[in-house]
Amino acid sequence: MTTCLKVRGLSKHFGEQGVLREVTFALEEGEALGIIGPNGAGKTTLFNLIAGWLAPSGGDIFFYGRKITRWPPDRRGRGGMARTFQTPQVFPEMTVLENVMMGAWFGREPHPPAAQARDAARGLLEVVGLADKEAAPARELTLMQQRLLELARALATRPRLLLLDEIAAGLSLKAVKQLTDLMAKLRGQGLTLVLTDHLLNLVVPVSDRLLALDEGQIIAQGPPQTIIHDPRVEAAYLGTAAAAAEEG
Amino acid sequence: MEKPHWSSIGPAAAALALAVWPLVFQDASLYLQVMGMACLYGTLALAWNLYALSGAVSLGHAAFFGLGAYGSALLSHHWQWSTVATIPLGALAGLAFGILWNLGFRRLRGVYLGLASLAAMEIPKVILDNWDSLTYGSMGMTGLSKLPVLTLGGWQVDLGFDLKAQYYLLLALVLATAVLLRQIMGSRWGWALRALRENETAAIAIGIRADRERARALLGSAYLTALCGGFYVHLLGLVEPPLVFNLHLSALPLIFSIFGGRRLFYGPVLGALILYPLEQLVFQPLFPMGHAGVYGVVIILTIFFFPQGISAWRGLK
Repeated sequence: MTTCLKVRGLSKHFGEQGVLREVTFALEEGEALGIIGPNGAGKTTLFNLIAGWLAPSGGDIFFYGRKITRWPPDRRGRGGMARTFQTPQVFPEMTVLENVMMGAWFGREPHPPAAQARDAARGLLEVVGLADKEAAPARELTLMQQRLLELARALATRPRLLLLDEIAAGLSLKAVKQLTDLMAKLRGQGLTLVLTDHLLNLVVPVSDRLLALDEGQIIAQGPPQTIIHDPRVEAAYLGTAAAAAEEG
Repeated sequence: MEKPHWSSIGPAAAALALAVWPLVFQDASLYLQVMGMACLYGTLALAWNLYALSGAVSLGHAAFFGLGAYGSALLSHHWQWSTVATIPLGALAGLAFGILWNLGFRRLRGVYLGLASLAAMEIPKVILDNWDSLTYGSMGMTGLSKLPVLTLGGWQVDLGFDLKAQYYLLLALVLATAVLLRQIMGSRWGWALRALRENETAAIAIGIRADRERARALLGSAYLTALCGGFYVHLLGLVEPPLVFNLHLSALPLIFSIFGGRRLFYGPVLGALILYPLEQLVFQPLFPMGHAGVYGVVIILTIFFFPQGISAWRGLK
């Protein structure tokens, strides 16, 4: 088995505030890892460190054996890491098809010629179910459609690792189910995934393994069904809920 | 990539009309002069728009214009080089300032970039205004060499004094620049700039080198703008700091581009070719004191009624 991603002793401080402390884990090729934890646990910070949008205060990140700790995010993109955002980031004035083509035309090297990028983009719009919106400007899409579009664009970059940040946030249960099925289909094609989710309805069925964070540290990792019933994880979630209830 | 949604017939017909009218109308020296300047401003607007394609709105392009102007004027005055050499070489001064600009401003966006660029023009202006031994300071330089006489197989064209020849030179300049912009906008690089303009975060996520692509657009834009400055001073035969480091020269390309439309390659030229003659030939005789105010009115009306510029008219339903 090939190791896709290795994170070693990763830390992040914002001033005095330690947000992530000595996080270490590895991800095999073809595996799906869910990062869970209550709000403020450090999920998004860890995610942004992996994707390169934040620079770590300590520790290292390896991607297929290469140390990428200091690589800027665009270089990681060209190297085969694709990501989506909690708030979908699309090119609003471009059409849906052009948005996805951009992923293929840029993204992971080497880059295909335009005609090939267009064909790839059409295929991916079929996969995510946006083929009938091909000619619409991206700004006209709903939140769910923008998520799907962003996903298609990320896939168009032919990623070796796909990072999905809170892809289910703000969606209806029906939409989450639709995304879960889509993820299962993509997993079947051997995609390597890292997902974050603070609710568990998408990350549990999709992941092979969960990594639970609380206060910037890994408190448990293992198969989803084991982790969600782990007393430490329950305490972390309940602790937040209890604190919130007290404040409320 | 997808073909843009315009047909080339309109722009090609317009280019033909611009090439033919001086042959039909004789003794049209005023019109030749005004249309020639409109072509120069059209080139300036295209050059400005190259940087704007990346989402950057500059209010300081007069810095590049003025440095290109002085670069060429100084080479020509102190070394008596031909303007054929001094204009492209002098424009390197604009390019050099573009490099400094990029170092200083590459983190700035939107209004902050606009303000910084506005201030940036003052730096070369103050230096050239006070370096008397080199530039004659605020006196400026007069009697600069005019554009040369070209000889093509026994056929002579005096670019220095023949208004018709000058018009065709400037028309060729604007058409060549427009074709260049069209090629850029359809290229992979053009799409990278568009991606940066529409959503820089998304562009970076798919691997686009934001700083590098924007810097290239800036440097191309700076050099082309500086070339315009060089042509300008040798057409006039004189240069002085307030003439070329002039806020008006920073604002005009923005006004022409917004009026004509920034999303189509010919939009900025369209703006220049309509507004400049309108201002010079209609408003100046009518309102000699406040004719430049027409630009203010036009920009307000454009923003209200055609936020994408008039070249997007066809798209409105």
